Amino acid sequence: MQLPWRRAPRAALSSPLTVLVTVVASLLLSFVAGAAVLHASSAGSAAISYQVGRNCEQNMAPTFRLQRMTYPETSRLLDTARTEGRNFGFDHQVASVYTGVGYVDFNGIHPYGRIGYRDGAYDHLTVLQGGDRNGTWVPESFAKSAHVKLGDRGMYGTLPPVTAIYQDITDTSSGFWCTEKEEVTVNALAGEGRSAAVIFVPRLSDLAKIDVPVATVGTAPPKVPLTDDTPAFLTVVHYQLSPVPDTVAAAGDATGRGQQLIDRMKTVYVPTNTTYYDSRTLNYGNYFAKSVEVAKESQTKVRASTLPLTIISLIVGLIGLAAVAVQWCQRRQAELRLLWSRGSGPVALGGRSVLELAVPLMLGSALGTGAALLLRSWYAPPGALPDGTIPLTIALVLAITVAGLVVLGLTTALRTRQLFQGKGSTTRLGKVLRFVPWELITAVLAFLAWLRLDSRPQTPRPGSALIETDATGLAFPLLVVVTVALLLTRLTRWGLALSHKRSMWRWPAGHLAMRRLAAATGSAIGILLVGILAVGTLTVGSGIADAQQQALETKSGLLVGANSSVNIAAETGRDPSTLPKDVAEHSTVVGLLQEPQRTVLVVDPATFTQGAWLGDRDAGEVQRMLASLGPGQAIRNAHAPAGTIDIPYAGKVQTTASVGSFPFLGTKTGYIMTRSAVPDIHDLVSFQLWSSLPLDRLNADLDQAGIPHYYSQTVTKALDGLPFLTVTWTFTFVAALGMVLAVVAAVALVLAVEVRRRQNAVSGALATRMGLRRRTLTASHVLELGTLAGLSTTAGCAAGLITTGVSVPLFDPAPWLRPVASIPDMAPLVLVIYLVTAAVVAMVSWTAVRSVRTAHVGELIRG
Amino acid sequence: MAEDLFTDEFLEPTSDALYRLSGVQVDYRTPAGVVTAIQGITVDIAAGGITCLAGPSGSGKSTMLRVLGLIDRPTAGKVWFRGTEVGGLGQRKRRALRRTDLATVFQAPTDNLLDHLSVGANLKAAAQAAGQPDRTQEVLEQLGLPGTADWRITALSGGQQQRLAFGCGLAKGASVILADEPTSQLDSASADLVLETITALGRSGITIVVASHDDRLMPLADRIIRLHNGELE
Repeated sequence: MQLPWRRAPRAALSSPLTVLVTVVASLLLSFVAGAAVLHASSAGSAAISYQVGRNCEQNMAPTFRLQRMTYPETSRLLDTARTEGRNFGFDHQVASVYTGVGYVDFNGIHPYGRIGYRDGAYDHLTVLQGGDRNGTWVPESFAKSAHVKLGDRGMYGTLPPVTAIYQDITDTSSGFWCTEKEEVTVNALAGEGRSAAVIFVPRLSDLAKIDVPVATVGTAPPKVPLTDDTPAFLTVVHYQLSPVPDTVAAAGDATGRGQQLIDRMKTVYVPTNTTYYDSRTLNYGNYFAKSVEVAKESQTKVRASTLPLTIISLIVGLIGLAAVAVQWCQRRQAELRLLWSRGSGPVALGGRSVLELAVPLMLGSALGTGAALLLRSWYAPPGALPDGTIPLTIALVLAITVAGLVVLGLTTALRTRQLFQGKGSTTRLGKVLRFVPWELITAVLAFLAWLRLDSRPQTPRPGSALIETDATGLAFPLLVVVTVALLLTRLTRWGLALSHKRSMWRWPAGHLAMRRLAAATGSAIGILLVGILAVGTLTVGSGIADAQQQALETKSGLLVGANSSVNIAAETGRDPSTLPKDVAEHSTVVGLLQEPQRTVLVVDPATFTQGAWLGDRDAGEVQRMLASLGPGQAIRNAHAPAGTIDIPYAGKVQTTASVGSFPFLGTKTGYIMTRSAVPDIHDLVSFQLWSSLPLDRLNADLDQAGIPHYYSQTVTKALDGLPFLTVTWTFTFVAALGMVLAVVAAVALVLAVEVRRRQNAVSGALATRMGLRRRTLTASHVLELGTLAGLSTTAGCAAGLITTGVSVPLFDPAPWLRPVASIPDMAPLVLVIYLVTAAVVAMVSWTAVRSVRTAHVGELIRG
Repeated sequence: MAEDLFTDEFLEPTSDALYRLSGVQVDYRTPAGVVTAIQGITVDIAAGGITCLAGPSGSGKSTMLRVLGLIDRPTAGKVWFRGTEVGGLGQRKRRALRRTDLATVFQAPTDNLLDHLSVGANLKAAAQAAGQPDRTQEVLEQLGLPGTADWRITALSGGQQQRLAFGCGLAKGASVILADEPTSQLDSASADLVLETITALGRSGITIVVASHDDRLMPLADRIIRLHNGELE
């Protein structure tokens, strides 16, 4: 390699500004490329984590279930499932075997109960008395009913002695007991004998010793020995996955292996007892498969919908590098001409620029990749990175770096060819590109995207709870912002071209600003385009992401009615004074009268606002509205008929006010009355406890107070939030890209002034010496840069806000749950954008004026 | 000694004509329209010695030099170099000729050298471009710049830099050195040193074509081609 090329990397040191600009351009380019990969991967993992959080952890793997089994059959099923499970990587089997609910003998007393065994059960029970793991563990409620003491032996002495009394299980919303809600909890509201707490035996084999069937509800306890032909047991096989899958790939692998295991079990295990209908075939489930499929769709959607802006950002970055190359050619023109005259061709000279700028470019790439990794929590949802993501990120960044080097080399080659060979191909290409109506193309695309959004189905597809927005529709807001940016830049270009015909010397600052802008049309247009894109995407990204988050919270809150809610027994509902103090202070009791066409809420005005979810409603106003209701009066909700209505147990009731939506009711037809409107509260049988406390704390407090409760709900799990989150994640990344573009726009503004520093200094210094007031000069710079930045910010904000307002309701995955998602309060964001814009303009204007103040005209002219 | 050549009687390349230009015209496209820089140039330039392109500013000297240096192509007419028509030659072959046979010295001394390389490295780079062996010390001796091989370019005076530029042509073994106003940015003493170098190179058998309106150069020239308004005077 010849010396000029070999020494090129060192030559870069002669121009620190070019090096700095190359590093920054490459950093931003690599950041965008790397962040796009990391964001999509994180979105997939976050979707999986979300699904894991909504599913029981033992439902991540396949489940097998068979009823009315004999003990030997149970053993056969468990052994087969254990062996086959291991073959497919499910090493940790969790077997559960329960008798039916029936009379369980203890001390001659026969309360309802069921006997059971579960692998690892003793590790997940709260012991109140005793604790020896070799005996029978009895639930507290049963122990009280049957006066069970430690050492007692149940079922006519066939059970091992009682060694512990444990606290009844009530919270099965997550954790070890999550899959066992129907088997281990008592539904106090379901009626006696329908459910029962479980008396756990220490070993599975202990169940074999029971010689009396317990699944004989409603009959006197018979003393009939169990035989092989007496089916009695419900057997459930789960597998505990460890670690729980945290990526789409890991989850997909688990569900794939799960399906293989199911297929295998269907082949190798055939129930031998066919006496009963429900014991003929093995019931199986691979419940997590659907969740994984939804998570994959979410990841694909996020990736597809952020792709257009990512590509635009990458193109902006590569154009930035091309601009760096053009600037480099200008600075190195003498050297290039010399090498050209010595016989070097465009390709060799392109290689010269690549060799000189490769190191800064690669440094920028490394920094960009590092920044993308370090700042992941800022722009991407929390989620583990699947194996291969980092190598993929590095590969993509390398590809972009190579593309950057190619752009540098190609631009230099074309530029030198144009300069020294007199070929105007790039200029012609530029003219052709300039005349392509890009804004029309993007406008048509935006319209097509809007049509997709507007014509989306109004009901969820089968198997989904919410409406999914397709990726094409998600591109609508971005396409609108791009269209506005392109349209405005074209108008500005025409305006600046026409400005040569205008003279505004009566307003010198304005005239100077206009002339300077017109003289640097190229850079002004570039800054305007990137600026509008930046502010527009930032606004639209933040707006839609916030709106979706708010919509999810609002709809979940309205659906549940409170932060957490549980069904409580009628006795507690009628007399809430039995509630523990902490619960009472943060909760309210609501009576329910549910009919097919309407729902009536019977609320307590005194406590309603301390427990119900009110969203952005004023608590005082709600309290006053409820307190104003007298006997025989009700508030109608949404479209419920007004006037006098008949309500069971309350008689004729007059509607006195109306609300558009109400907690729990949403926008469904319904009425709200106070407890005083029901003459006899004992007529009500259905009550819920609405609380602002977290669900686990509410459950714990109620358990401790011994208050029966059932069917708990919490806002965090009320709705499948994934469709909301998919939109949120998409537009959070859009906002992050907007931030990157904003940095690009700000740097471009600084550079545009810096590149013209000498020219500005000469003209400014001469003008001031010819009598131009310094104040006018300053005003001209502020006006020039302020017009550019102000136009970018205003157009970007306007496009962003309007598009957000139009898009948000169309993105709502559950429009039937009111209120429909709407534009959030964007005033703070807009204010911050304007303040930052003003600060950048002030700083850059100051540097421009400073270069004039410090200029020595003589030296400048001499050069 | 000086011989004015402004004839159009040579229609065929002769054995002693290094260049032959026949009806050469060069147009430039500008925003204001097409500008004709030179037209109707028909001239022969013999090998060896010093040929001076003279004329006022804007007469087309630099353009003609660029045509001779195979940097610009004629819009009309033909150019022969060593008997080969080079006006329509492909870029690759024109580059090959520039690489091996031609050297160009521009007006500004700093434009002729690579400022991030030392004096010696500049000569070496020039030699490498033409695939010639490194003769740095020998060339520096010839230029009267011994011991400066490791100096930075900025340590040389303008005159020394311009001499070094001619030295680069020498280092690459060029048979033709085309110089565009090589003394215009130098003081008198420095210009004298450059003229000395030009004279010495011209006598050594290298063909020197200099575009200049430095009156001191005219007596040194073997041939003078005068241009006015883009045409031979």
